Amino acid sequence: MGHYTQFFTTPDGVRIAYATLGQGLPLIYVPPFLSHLTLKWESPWFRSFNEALAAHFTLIRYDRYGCGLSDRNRTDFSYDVDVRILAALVDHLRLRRFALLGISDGGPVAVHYAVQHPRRVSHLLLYSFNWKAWDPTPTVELLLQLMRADWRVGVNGR
Amino acid sequence: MTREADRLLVIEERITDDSPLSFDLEMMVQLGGCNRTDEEYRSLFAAAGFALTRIIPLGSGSAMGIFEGVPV
Repeated sequence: MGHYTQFFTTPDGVRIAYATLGQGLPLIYVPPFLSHLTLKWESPWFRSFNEALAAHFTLIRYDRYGCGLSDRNRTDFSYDVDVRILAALVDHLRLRRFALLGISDGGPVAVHYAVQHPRRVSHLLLYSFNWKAWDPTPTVELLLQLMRADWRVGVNGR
Repeated sequence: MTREADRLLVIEERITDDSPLSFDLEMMVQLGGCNRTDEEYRSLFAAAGFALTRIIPLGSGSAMGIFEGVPV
């Protein structure tokens, strides 16, 4: 299957990269906090995962604002911004009803969008996501401090 | 959208009598969460307004299951 990256500009003036693959019910894949459309496509694991989804759906992938091939000049990292970007993508593609897949940090974005637009979302799929990702427990806070102090030790300590 | 069509499917690990508790402990320490027994899932679903209608084990020897809920 082919991979073709396209761009659109949101009403707020943000340039967002997206790519579609396959046919059928639209499925928007809200990525984790890190993504890159092209680099992920080159990863055999992600590529086979995407192709498996595209065998049943029109898979719509995009890079979140501040990440990958989308504009990088983001300063507000609240989920409100992510939901506005997602809503702009939906409007740009003129989608009326679609399934929403949120993975990791994409999960809260998908949930917030579904709460605001329940009639648009046919299925809400949440995979390995943590609602309290930015509200760490004392243990996680200590690990984060260790990572800040020494990235190598902090990451391996996990 | 009809209410009858609404389904909540949770694919998660099930705690049984012979489950190792190390992952449960890790969930508690790192995330403030936990793994659950079937009955604990039933209570969790009820607290969220869902009735647990089916538990489908995922393969023999797997600790994973599909928990199906419908809105009450």
